[in-house]
Amino acid sequence: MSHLVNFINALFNPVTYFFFSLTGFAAMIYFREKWTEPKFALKTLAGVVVAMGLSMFNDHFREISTKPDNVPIFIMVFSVGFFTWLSFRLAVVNDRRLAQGQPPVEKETSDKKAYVWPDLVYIEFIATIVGGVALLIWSLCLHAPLEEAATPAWTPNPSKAPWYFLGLQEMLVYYDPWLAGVVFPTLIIVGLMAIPYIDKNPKGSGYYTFNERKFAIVPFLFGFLILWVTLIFLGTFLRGPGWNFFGPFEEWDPHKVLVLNNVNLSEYFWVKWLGFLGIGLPKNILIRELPGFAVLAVYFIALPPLITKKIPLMMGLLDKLGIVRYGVLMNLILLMAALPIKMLLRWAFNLKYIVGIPEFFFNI
Amino acid sequence: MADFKDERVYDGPTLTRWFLWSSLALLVCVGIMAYKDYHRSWKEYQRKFMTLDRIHAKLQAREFRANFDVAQYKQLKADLKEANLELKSHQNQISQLESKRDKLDAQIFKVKSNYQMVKANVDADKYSYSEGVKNGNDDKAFKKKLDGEIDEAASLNQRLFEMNQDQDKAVKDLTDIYAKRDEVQGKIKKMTADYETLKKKIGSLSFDFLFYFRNAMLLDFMSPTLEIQQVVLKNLPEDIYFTKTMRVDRCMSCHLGIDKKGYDEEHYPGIPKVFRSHPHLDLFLSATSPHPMEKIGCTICHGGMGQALSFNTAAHVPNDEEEAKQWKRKYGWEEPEAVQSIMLPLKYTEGSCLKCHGIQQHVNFAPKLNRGRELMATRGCVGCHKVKNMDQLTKAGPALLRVRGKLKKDFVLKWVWSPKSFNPAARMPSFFQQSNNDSSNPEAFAKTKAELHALVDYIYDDRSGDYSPNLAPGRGSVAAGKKLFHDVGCLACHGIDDVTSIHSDFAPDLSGTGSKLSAAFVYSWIKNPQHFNPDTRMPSLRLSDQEASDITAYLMSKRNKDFEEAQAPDFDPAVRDQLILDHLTPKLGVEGAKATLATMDEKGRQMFLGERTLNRYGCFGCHMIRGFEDAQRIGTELSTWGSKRVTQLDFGFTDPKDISHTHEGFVNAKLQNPRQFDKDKVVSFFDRLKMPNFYLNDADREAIVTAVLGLTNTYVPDEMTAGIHGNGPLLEKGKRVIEDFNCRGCHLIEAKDKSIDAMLSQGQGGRILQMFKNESVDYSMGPPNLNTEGAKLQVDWFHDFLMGPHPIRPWLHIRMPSFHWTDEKISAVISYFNYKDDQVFPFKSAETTHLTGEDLAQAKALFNDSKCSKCHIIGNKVPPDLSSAAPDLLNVHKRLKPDWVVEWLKDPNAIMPDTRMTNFWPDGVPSFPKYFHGDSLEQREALRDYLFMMGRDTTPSEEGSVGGTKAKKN
Repeated sequence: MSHLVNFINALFNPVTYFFFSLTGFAAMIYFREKWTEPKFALKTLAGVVVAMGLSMFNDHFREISTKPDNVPIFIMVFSVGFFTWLSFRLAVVNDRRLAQGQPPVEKETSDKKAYVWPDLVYIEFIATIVGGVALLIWSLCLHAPLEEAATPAWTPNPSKAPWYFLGLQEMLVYYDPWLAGVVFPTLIIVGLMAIPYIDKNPKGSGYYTFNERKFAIVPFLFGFLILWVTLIFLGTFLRGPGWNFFGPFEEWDPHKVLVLNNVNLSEYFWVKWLGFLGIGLPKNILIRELPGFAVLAVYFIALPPLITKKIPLMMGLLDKLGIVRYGVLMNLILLMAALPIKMLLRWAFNLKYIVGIPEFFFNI
Repeated sequence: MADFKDERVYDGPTLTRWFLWSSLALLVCVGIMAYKDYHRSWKEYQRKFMTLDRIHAKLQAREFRANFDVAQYKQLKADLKEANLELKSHQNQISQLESKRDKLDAQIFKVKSNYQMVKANVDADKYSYSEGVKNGNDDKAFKKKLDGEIDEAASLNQRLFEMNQDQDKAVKDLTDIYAKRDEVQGKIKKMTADYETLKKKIGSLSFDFLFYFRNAMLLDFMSPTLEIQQVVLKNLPEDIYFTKTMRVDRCMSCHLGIDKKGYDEEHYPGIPKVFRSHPHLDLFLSATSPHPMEKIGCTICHGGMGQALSFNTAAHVPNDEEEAKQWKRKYGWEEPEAVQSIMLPLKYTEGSCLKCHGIQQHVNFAPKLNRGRELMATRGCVGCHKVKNMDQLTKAGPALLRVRGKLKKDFVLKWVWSPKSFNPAARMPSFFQQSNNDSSNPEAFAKTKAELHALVDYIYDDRSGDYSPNLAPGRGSVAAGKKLFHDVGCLACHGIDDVTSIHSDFAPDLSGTGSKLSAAFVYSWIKNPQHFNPDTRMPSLRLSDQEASDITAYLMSKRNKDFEEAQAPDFDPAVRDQLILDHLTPKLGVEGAKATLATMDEKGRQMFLGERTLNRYGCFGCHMIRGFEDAQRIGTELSTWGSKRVTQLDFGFTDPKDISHTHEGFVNAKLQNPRQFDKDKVVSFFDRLKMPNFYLNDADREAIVTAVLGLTNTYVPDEMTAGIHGNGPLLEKGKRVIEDFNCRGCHLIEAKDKSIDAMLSQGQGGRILQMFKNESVDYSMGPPNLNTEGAKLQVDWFHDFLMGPHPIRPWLHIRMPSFHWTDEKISAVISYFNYKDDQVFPFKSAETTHLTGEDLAQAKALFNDSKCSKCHIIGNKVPPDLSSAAPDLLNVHKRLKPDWVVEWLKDPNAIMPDTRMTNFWPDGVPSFPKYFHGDSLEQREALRDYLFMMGRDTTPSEEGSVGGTKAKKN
């Protein structure tokens, strides 16, 4: 039993966790025909529920998962799961029909009308009541998880952001606050706002489809599911005291010690790779960080033209969207990809900063 | 319409059904919410308390009825009937008087209103007239009218007066007629008054309609009977870091009987804990106690969340596992989390006294805390750990000076290696052979042996100096020595395995002395401790040569053969050299360390490692060692340890099931086995835990846990801090000396109105008194109670006595020791006693009246009649029975303050409840009323004056004439 527990704990280290979420995501896209079958989905749900029920026998898991603070996370996990399944289910059904030359399901009701009064107003009102009932039951069953008075002399350990910001907090592990706390969140909002202007694909309007909107759906879901939802899950259940990583069945020991030594790219370049020259780190900051700037230049300037030429899904995109749209899109996607890339670099090479100029608080 | 229906996506009736069910669900939820908000556990407690009170009142009523004197009641009823019958015969007169009274009532009302009207006119006209005169308009006619009005008012007033008189007379006549009946009625009322009160109480405690109405849901905002009870404590604010808020304690919303007397097992058998009275209402909560509820509240002492109103949110903490289980079952108790302050388990509550009384050396009626603090001082906790208010204490162990002249090296080696093997009661803790460096860790074990030898060599080096005893004992008797040791007072500080009735651990246990010291040393030491160590606290008991020889013989007979025969551990020089290298390498590097080692000779190596080891273990915390006077304490500061977060404590890899991961669990575990948090840890020899093992018993450990848990950073404003106001600091200075020299080992101090037994039962008495109690020896053969000592002793005499004590009751076996106190210490003690008793200090005369003539004659007669000399020594006249003897009265004038003597005579038992002194004025009634017109005060003052004259030798000669010393000589 303890072997199994240890195995699962080990499985939930950040690398495998991220690896599994990536492969899971790919599998979700690839095997969509299979898992959207209601029977399969119900079996999966039953499996998850049983696994969770069994996990409750573990003291540490129970302690973390039954905290009133973490109830929203469970609601989120199950509701995100359900709605993802639902949208895929509807999309898969429609795709099948479209492939056979039939119109989408939505076509059948498209002649009918939904009126603002009574339909919309009524439904919204009912939704309000149902939401109120749900909140009341929630607050009746669980006390508000209040903590002791705040003190400047003592930060709670672990000190966690509100659950919906845990994805942002996770980013802070890999990027400096000015990036993870200011630039990225801003770009997320700007990027979401930009979607209608970038997306010129007229298909999929008014009905669910995956095949006709692959390029729109995959990056969006990657950003939402992998870089937001799973990071919230990770931040809630796997990040413990000292912001250290803990397996789901591991005791949150505030005295746990981990290796957290990280190295800058400049140090790799000048000391490790060019070490045989015996020059060491250049005194001049700009020369020192030259490799980092070069990497960034390649990433943001050389990559976009290359992508449109070499990657199958992107081929011809430049022509379709025009240079401006394509440039904006590429920048957004590359910025989004920067997070998992940095994570991988951190885990694989203990890379601290690509460009590290702590003298001016400019670290990337 | 049909078309409209067809083209709609949504179905109207379905939506309506959705609406119906969801709104019904909302209604139910709102109902549940309102009920949950209304239904609170504290209300349940208040209802239960009402029931409890009601049942109790009913029982009382039943008891009242059972004890009721029915015969007397019937007789009174018969009397009442008779009186009523008699009244009937006066019926005419009564009705006349009543009608007269009532008529007058009406008339008086009429005249009175008339009078008030006229009076108002007079006042207004007076003003108008005067104003007219001021403006030069003297209206004669108006003046005449005014005068007329004044006359009218006067006559009306006169009539009113007469009518009132008439009415009063009528009423008085009526009262006279009713007098007899009223008297009987009054008696009946008096007889049943308690019962009526009870009935009213039962009525007010009943669950009637009004109760349910006032406390009904949604109506209870008006005037509910079930209410939250709270005290708001402005003077003890809660520090929530960014600001301070008023502390609000609502504990009494459920603990309803806490501040009221009588809610205990005796009055309410089986009363639930929650409703019980506070066990020390004389000290806490009651309005007359020093800690009234309105000022102190609950949480400042007990901790916990004062504003919370449910069992779990109040952060209750159980005393032990057993209680925790019980609570889980009964209240669904959970370990408090994320709260500002959890409750202290009840057994550690005394620790909280430190929040306000921290500066005081001794907190009255907190025996566990005092014991804990005494242990922290005498066992040397404060030698390694800084503790606020305890950082200036005398070092716990003996100074390591001139050790060569006192102890054999072999002894010291074995002693330091394992103090307990020499003497199970040894206070020196064990640094070696502990769980992280014993023989199960061969490497560490070998290293500690090398450290031991280096340490002892270092101490035995020149810095310790030489010594040889200056005196030699004569032939002593072990038996006589044993008796002396028991009787003269050694046991107040020292323990020894021969004596089981008391074991004091203020000073070292002396079992095994024969294996440790030479007879010459013991003899020289007890004759004059300062010869060996001028700074020692050990006093001299003024032993004669023979007495000292006897005690020496006795102590030398106490030997530990096993220890003598045991071998001191030896060490491996290679391990020692490796240790030296380990010390040197971090600074010098491997080669440098080796080179340095090579330059050291054998002695140099021992000295180097000795010094390092001494620093490592912090020996200087407890022992004065030359060269280490200013060394810093090596342990963690404990001043606010109780406020540390649990997560800041390193429990190592211990299982919470074995060691509770709480504050008390930590201290307890640390004292039980200080090294156990090294278990399963990979840690280098130098980084291992070093705290030594004190091998404390459970009670002592609990006492220390209490004292340590009380060390918090709770904010207490100056006005609420004890010992810093008025003479507080001066008192503390004296108390410091009193604690340092264990005065409480023999004397009762601050034992106002309390008998020795009462003090002992509260853990307040000294060890010698405890021994007297255990051995059933008369307390009067023991050391005196020092209550009111400041008011009692003349300052000069007090000073002389402390400089060189001389026996006041020479027949006692126990002796007041001669302390070698500095002037500063003596002054501190004397001012402590004087300020404690609110004395004029330092200058106070001892003048008394010089009696003459008749006064003197009466005083002398009173003195003789009181038979003072039956017990008291008077100069050379010693009473035949010394077992009931009392101090010499000829010394009174030098020793006692005149005011105190009068107070003492008034009621000796009030000052010393265990005294044998007779009270000649029991309850203020003189036993010899013929003197001084039976005036008690005058008698006592005269007696006092007589005593003072007697001592000054100004007593009258046999003929009754007064003659001073001078007069006699002349």
